[in-house]
Amino acid sequence: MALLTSIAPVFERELRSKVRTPWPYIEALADPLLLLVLFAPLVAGLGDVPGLPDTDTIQWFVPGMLVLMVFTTAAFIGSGLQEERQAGSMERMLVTPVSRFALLMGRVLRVMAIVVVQSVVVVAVTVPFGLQVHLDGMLVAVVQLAVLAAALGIASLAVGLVLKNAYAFWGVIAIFYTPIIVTSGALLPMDLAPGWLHAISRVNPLAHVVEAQRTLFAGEFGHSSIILGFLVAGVVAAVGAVVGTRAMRRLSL
Amino acid sequence: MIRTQNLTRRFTLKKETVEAVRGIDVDVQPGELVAFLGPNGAGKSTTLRMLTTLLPPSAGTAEVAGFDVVRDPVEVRRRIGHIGQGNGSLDGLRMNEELTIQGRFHGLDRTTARARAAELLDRLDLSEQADRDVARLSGGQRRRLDVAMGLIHRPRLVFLDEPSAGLDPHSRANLLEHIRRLHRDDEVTIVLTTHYLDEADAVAERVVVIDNGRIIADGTPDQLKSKVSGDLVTVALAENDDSGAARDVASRVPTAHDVEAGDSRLSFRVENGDAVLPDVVRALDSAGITLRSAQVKRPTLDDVFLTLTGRSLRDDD
Repeated sequence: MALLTSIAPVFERELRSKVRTPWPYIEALADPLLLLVLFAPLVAGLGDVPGLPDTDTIQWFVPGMLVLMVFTTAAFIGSGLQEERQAGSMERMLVTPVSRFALLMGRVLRVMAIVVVQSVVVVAVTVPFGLQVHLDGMLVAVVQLAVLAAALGIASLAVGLVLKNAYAFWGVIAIFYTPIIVTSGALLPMDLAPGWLHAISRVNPLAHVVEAQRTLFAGEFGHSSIILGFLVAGVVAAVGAVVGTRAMRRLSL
Repeated sequence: MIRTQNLTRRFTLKKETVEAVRGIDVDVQPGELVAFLGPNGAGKSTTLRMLTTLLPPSAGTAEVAGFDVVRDPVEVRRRIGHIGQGNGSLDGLRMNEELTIQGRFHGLDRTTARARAAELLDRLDLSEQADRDVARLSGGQRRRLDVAMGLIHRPRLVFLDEPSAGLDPHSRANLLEHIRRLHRDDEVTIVLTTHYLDEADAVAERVVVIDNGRIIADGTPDQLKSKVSGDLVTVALAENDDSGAARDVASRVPTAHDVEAGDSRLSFRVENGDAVLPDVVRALDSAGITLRSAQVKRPTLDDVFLTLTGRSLRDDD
């Protein structure tokens, strides 16, 4: 209860600080929507390719785009924490009774809430272009995206805390960005990949979530990939939470 | 309010151990207004960070507002206000939003926090900017918002780290007036750090001079000045020939030192120069020495620092 009353103002502050400027959402939505417009037709034009459905490319493509959107929304929030630490507002909040954990969780919750709204927007925009929505599947899919957002968000915060400066943070992002996007299988099926690249995609948490999302959007529930998607996101979240809270507790300014 | 024993902080930078704070013992009573004065890198801010629970001490203990900073940091945080060196507000938020949320960080409910925020904005002359994005505030306004955030939960003890650094003279005077009023009207105990001599002199009732991680002097500005170097008394003589006799008179004054005479001028340093001056004038008079003028110049805190360390604080700026 005490934790909840601490998280609430952190969450509200995060939400309010972004609510009057559209840029964070343009940044997060532009990429998946532009890929949908510019890249999906190329995928559709590939024709008979292993891992791709014969028809209905959009049904295959949209779930991947949602995962990429979660990535661009959640994976960079560590830099916001760094900025506040640099500026002095983090210090100000650290000298209040609010727990360190709440300072992280408020941010994570904000990202989860935003991701849910953005997912609904992406789906709503693509339905006219032929996306079929299975309501129950989509509901679970959105929950899973929110869990993934929490996992990536907390991991990003942990990285932001451990690496003190912005250069290091963006350096790490630059190293991981392309491999994570490419091996997620969101753009092209990993069935096309040579063995070594396919192996890399197996350790990419996003790849598992992309597969889970595709099953869910197809309205299939029995598939093991769904559980695996949740599991992988959960593991990332757990590791991030442990590293993040520990770094936060040790944080001295 | 504050009691520290052998408070120490070491940093390890590139395998080299730097002693930033080397055993500080300081007691601050409720209602005091104390300035930690010292050059940049003296250890003032590091000391403040330990007192505000931002930095664990390497050795020693500190009790702040009745609680140990290491054992009960949260209880300390509940009871103190902290206005740091940096910028405490985030661009994109409005002034009253930051302030209200800060109140809720301290456990106030929404209504109370909002009312308290409005009260503080009014008090710090910020009401007109209440709905303005903090990015659009002036430096002075932003600093006053920081102060307001530090006061939202009515702490009885407030720490300010270099409160006026980077402000223009007008905003600085305004901020110091607010600090003075907070101390006078609300009897809040205040501890601030500064490397501005005139600021310590103007605002503090007690100055703790810190250099190289140690306290080298502690007292009221007047005490420090009189203890360390004494006031400078200068007397202009009508006749240069009287110099020698004048020197003899001055040398007999208790605590007089650095007596210099010549060129129709007598000067010496003495404790409590204002009180000594009439005696000196009478003594010179009865010795038949005619004087044209006399003046007493109080030493500045810079004189104090110079005497204690052989360095001037002003070199820093």
